[in-house]
Formats: sequence, C-alpha cells, structure tokens
Amino acid sequence: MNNIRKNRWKDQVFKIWGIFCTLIGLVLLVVFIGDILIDGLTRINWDFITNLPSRKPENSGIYTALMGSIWILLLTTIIAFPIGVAAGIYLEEYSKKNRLSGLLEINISNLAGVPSIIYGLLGLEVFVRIMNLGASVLAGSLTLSLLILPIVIVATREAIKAVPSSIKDASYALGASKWQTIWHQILPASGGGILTGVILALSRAVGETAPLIVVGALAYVPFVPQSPLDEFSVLPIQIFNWISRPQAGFIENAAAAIIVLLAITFVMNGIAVYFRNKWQKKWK
Amino acid sequence: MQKIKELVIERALLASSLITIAVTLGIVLVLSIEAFQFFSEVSIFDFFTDTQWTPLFTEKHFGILPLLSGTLLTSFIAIAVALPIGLTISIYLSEYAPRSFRKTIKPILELLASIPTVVYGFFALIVVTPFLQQFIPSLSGFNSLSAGIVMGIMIIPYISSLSEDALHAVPRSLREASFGMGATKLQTAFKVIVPAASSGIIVSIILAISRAIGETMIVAIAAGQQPRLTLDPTVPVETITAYIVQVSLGDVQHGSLEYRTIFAAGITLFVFTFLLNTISYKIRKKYQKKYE
Amino acid sequence: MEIIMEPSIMKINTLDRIVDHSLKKVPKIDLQGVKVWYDDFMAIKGIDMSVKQNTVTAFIGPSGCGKSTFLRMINRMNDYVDGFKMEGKIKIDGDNIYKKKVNVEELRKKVGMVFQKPNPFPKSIFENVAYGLKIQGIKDKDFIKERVESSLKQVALWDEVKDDLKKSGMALSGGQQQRLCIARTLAVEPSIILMDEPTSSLDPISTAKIEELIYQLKEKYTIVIITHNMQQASRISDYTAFFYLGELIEYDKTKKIFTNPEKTQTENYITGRFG
Ligand SMILES: Nc1ncnc2c1ncn2[C@@H]1O[C@H](COP(=O)(O)OP(=O)(O)OP(=O)(O)O)[C@@H](O)[C@H]1O
Ligand SMILES: [Mg+2]
Repeated sequence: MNNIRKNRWKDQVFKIWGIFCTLIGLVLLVVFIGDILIDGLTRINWDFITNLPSRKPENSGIYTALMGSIWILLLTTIIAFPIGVAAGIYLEEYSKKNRLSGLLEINISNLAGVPSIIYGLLGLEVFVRIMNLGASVLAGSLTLSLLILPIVIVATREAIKAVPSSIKDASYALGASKWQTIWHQILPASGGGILTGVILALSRAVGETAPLIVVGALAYVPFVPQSPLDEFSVLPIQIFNWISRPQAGFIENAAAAIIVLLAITFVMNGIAVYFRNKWQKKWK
Repeated sequence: MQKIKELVIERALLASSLITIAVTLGIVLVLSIEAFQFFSEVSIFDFFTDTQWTPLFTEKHFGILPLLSGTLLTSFIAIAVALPIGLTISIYLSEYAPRSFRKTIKPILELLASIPTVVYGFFALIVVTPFLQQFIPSLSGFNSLSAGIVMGIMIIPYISSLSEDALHAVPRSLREASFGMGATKLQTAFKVIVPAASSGIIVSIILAISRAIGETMIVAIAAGQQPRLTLDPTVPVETITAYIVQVSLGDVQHGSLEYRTIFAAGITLFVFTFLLNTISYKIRKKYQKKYE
Repeated sequence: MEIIMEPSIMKINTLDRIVDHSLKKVPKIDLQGVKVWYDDFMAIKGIDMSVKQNTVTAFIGPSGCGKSTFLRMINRMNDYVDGFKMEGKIKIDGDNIYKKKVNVEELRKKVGMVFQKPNPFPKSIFENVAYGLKIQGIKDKDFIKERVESSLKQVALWDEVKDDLKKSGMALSGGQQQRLCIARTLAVEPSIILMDEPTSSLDPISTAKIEELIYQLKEKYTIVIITHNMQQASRISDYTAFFYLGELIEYDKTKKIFTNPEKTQTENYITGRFG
C-alpha cells in the first residue's frame, strides 16, 4: 500500500469511528429513556399523580413532590428572573470597561462553575440559619435562584449583544433616553433570547437535587406547601428517596417519577428551543 | 424628573449585578468561618494526612484523603470515558459531518447534559451496575466504576459541544491551505485544526473535570457512602459531595463538629473547582484575543 | 458674534442674503476648535466651521478622515462611545450643546439623524414613525396619527404604505426603509437633520427619490449630509466641506469647490486622483 492510499484508509477509519462515537451518545439516550419507560410507564396513572407519599409503594404518589417542584419553580422565577435580567442589562449596557466590570465578569464566570452543592451550603447557613427561614420553600428557592443567576445573566447578555447597534443608534437619535431605548427597543428585540436562557436555567433548577437536600428539603412530606415558609419536597428528592429503598415497588415508582420529571425538563427545553428559533429568524 | 428616574434605574441595575459579588463573598465567608471553627478542633495536618474519615462514628478520624480519592477516582473514570468520545465527536462534527447533520445532532447531544443528575444516578445503580456485574462478578452493588462511566456519558456534551465550537471557529483558510498541500481531512484535523483550537479544547476539558468533581447525585446514589482510600473501581467509595449529602440527610445538630465537617469538606471542593474555573477563564480570555 | 465665513460665501446669491437676515447673524450650527479623541487616537484635530440655516451642507473626504465622527458630534451621538474625549464648543442657535446642564435627549429631538444603512425598528411602520412622539410622553392618539401621516407624506411613502401601516418596517424595500427612517426623524420635528451616507446602500432609483426629498426638505430644515458620491454632493448641496485626516481642508460654496477649489488636495480628491 502506498502512502496516499494508507492515509485515505486512515481517514475512512476515523470517519467511521466518529460516526460510532456520535451515535453511541444517541443510542445511550434511547436505551436509557426506553429502559425507564419500560420500568415506569405502567405505574403512571392519575392516582400516582394525585396520591400522597406512603409506606406502601403501590399507594404512593408524587402529589406533594410535584406541587413542591411547582412552588420552587414559581418562586425561583420570581426571584432570579428580574435580578438576573437586570444584572445582564447593567453589564451589557451601562458598565464601562474598568476594574469593577472586569471583576464582575470573572466573578460571574466563576459562579457558573461552582458545584451546586456548594450553593446548598450557602443556602443552609444564610437562608435557613441566619435569616431563620427554616427548611422552607422560600429558602430552597432563594438557594436555587443564586444557583441559576449566572446562567440568566450570561443568557441576557448574549441576547442583548445580538441586537444590532443600529437599532440603539436610531432610538438615541430620536431623543430617547438610555432606559427608554432599553425598554422600548432592546428588551423587545432580545426578549426571545432572554426567555430561552431563563427557561433553560429554570429547567436546570427543576432537576436540582443536591442543594435542596443540603438546605433540608424533606424526603417525606405529607402535605402540599400552603405558603413560602412551609416545608417541602421536590420531585428529584422524591426520586432519590425511592431509589434508596430496597423494595422493587419503589424502584418502579422512581422510574415513573423520572418519566414525569423528564417530561417537564424536555417540555421546558422544547419551549426554549422554540423561542430561540423564532427569535433568531428575526435577525436574518 | 426624567433624570432622577434614569439614575434610580441605573442604580437598581448596578445593585442587581453586585449581588453576584455578594454571592461569592457569601460562599467564601460561610465556608471559611465554619471551616475555621472546624480546624480549631481538628488539626489541619491530620486533615490532610489521616487516611480515615469517620466523623460519624464513635472513634472519630478526620482525614480528607479517602473522600478526595473517591472524588478523584470517579472523576478520572468519567473523564476517561468522556474525553475520547467527546473529542472524536467534536472533530467528526466539525470536520466530517454534513452541516445539516451537525445542526440536528448537536442539540440532541446537549439534551444529555440537561437530564437531571438524579436520573443518571438511577441509571447507574439500576441498569449499569447489574449489566457490568455480568462481566465482573466481584463488582459490588455500589462502586465507582458505574458511577464514573455514567458521569462520563453525562459530560460528553460539555466536551463535544465546546470543543466543536472551538474547532469550528478556526478560519477556513487554514483548512484550505492544508488541503491544498494534499493533506487528508484526518491529517488536517490533527495537524492543523486541533492545534489551532487547542486552547478552546483545553477549556472544555477543564470545565468537564470541574463538573465531574462537583457532581453529586450520581455518586451519592451509585458509588456508595463508604469513605475508603482506594483506587479499586469495583468497591464502594464516598466522594466529598456524597458525604455532604449523607450528613444533610441525617439529623446533625447545628454547630456540632459533625455539622462543620461538611463545610470543611465543602471548602476543599470549592478550592479545587475555583482553581479549575479560574484557569479556564484565563485561557478563554487569552484565546478570545487571539481571534479578534 | 463670531461668524467665521469668508465674504465670498456671504453674498453670492439672493438666498444666502435672505438666510443671513433671518439668522440675525447667528449661524444655525457653529463649531469652534473641535477636537475629538478615541482613547489616544485623535480623530478630529481642531476644526472651526459654521453652517447656515436652511442649507444643505455636504461632508466629503476619504474613508476614515473623521466625517462621521464630526457629524455625530452635532447630536452628541459619540457620548456613548468607550474612550471618547472632546475639546471645543459646538453651538446650535447660539447655545453650546456640550455644556454640563444640556439635556441630551432634548438636543437629539432638535437634531435628527439618518444612518448609512436603513435601520427601522423591528416594529410596525406606524410604530416606527410614532416612536419618537411616544417616548416624549405624547398620548394623544389623533395627534400621533396625524403626525405619522404627515411625516410619511413628506417622504412620499404614504401612498405606498397607507393600507398596511401594521406591517413590519423591516418588510419594506431598502429604499422604502430609508424613507421610513427619514419620516421617523421628521415626526419629532427637528430643525437640523444629519445624514451619514443615507443613499450608499440604495439602488439608483431609490437614491434619486431621496435626493429629491432632501432638496425639498431644505425649505424647512438645515441638513448636513455625508456622501462619497461627488455627483450627489454637487447636485444637492449648497456648501461642501472637504475633510482629510481629521482636518477640515476646505469649506466653501459647492459650486466653488467643484469648479475652482483653493487647495490642490481638494482638487485631487474630487477629480478622483486620490482617496
Ligand atoms: N468608536 C471608535 N473607536 C475608536 N476609533 C474610532 C471609532 N470610530 C471611529 N474611529 C476612528 O476614527 C477615525 C475616523 O472615523 P470616522 O468613522 O469618523 O471616518 P469617516 O470619515 O466617517 O469614514 P467613512 O467614510 O469610512 O465612513 C477612523 O480612523 C476610525 O478608525
Ligand atoms: Mg462614516
């Protein structure tokens, strides 16, 4: 075999290896979801959704955990959305290039890489103990809000950056103030991108387990939270709890609850992708 | 009036962005204050040299090494899985795959990273471990091998997506120059494109390592809760993160030494990931300049 | 009052004499010793110039010589640029616009601007024209409607779009978009309009329409326009200023500049020998 043919051959081999690696990710995804569907799908019915947790696997349901997750989702949105978007706007539109802006930037990039369990320790000490909120929905939401803040900020900045500066110029040239320009032009034009980022961040929050365990969320909660100061559980913690039990019935429950959790995660991701595509078309 | 409104808004926006600084300060303060109190009772020397970690037993030892080894072992296995696969995917997608294929496959792969980690934990414990036990009968029910492998699958998209972005950013002219000299795609990829994108690839690997070290649920579920100084991937181990979860699930008195152990463990974890993140940030900044 | 105009410019035709009377000898725009830096780079190296009311003044000069920078000084659009510094005075109707207490937003309502690439907002045609009024806090719907209509009529776009004012401004053709942008500027009733190469991205027919429009607008507005097209400058402007490397080389009646320039640099540029 001459050199050129050998190289061609190597090229082909690598190509096949590349396809293999790419597909293995997909195959695993399919195996994975298929397996969970087989384990859990038969368990899903209306009772499973509306029952309280119980010592008997066949009577157990995810009602309180699901409601807890919804509480967490709502409160986290209310807290993280305005703060994250506001910080993103500040960094992109107001801050001048100086020491403070450099510090903010490296700091946010670092926060994005801090393990989620560390946020749990922060929440435990500050919200649960010092602010005396206890292991409440509010303490959990505050913790998760801090966790997703960097994601929301980065997404906001990216979306704002994508708005052509000619739009800003035009607005200023008509006598609009900075805030009027941001409010009437930049935010509507970047809304789709910001929304995409916020939804992705929230979908991450819905799936978080570790920081909420550290904050003290319970595995067994026989009631739905009535106020932000009530104790709570969430779907991932319920799943974790069921996985840790030896009885086969609980494993089935875990699989069924995973299906619900994955459905929520994928729907949120789908919505995010929808907004992103709709928004990207606007600038092409 | 308008001027005042504008000023108030600007201040409010500034305050929002300063919250991020407060968060970092909060983390550092909380971890170091609690850890400081911990180290007033436990010698720092023991902490780093004792080979046992048994704070919850009557005979207490506070050596972080078993937790560290558990953390590094699972992370190492994860990277060993994710690095070759992730890099190959990135090179394949950027240099070989048709555009439309790349555009569909990338978001699907990124879906892997958006699955909650508790779900991966389930998969590792209920599916992968029994599967591996068919080949390795001595594999115990909790082990770092399946936890590591599944964690590796989870972080594949971190490496493949970020590296692909870096490869894709390499100017077309470089490729054309190489093809023009008769090089194959493979030669071009490894001799020209990968070196040109190396900083971006390194950043993606560092981020993946940092992600693996901080990962909690997979290891808490599938690797076990037995701190043990070992490199054997078939036996139960405990990572720093899993230990924090274990303590949090129990009923530990606030202010007790047991309570403080999780902050001592936490600060160790934080220092590791902080270093990795800072290095990757520095490389990224340098690399951004290169292409501007 | 400091009028820095050559006698030759002052009485050439009747129009100018009328303008001079109405001005009571205060030029519409008066720029004195203007210097501009971007960080350490000096983009404008000290320029004096004054512009008369109801005239069209063309800025010409090779790329990068500072035309846009200088133009954007007149409505303080450079304020937001990182590293921007300036020296000198710019007076409009006798008032220095770079004084501390000047309200920049008020100033920009008085000094409108049209950009090189048409940049309609991603909103409806109606909203595009109404935007300037709405941000002033005007709520009177009939008033806004009327103003939108009259502005669109002034730029001869009304007949083309009156039936779908709800359509996105970005769905119009390039030439229509640019006229929309001009209408948007007219709606806030400025007295000065700055135009930075407003036709450079348009086809010849759209360009002709805009030139025609500029000619009509001169009756009500003072217009400063940057152009790289020498024919355009000579067709539409009363005065022409030639810039080179951040300096004003020559400023005179357009006819004079194009038939008998004082400086050889000017001559070389307009005859296409450099630039
Ligand atoms: N925002 C900025 N930051 C730094 N330098 C700038 C900035 N804007 C312009 N410059 C520099 O100032 C000089 C003048 O630029 P300006 O845009 O005013 O030129 P111009 O005459 O309008 O050119 P053109 O005909 O290409 O539009 C150029 O050298 C340019 O590089
Ligand atoms: Mg210009």
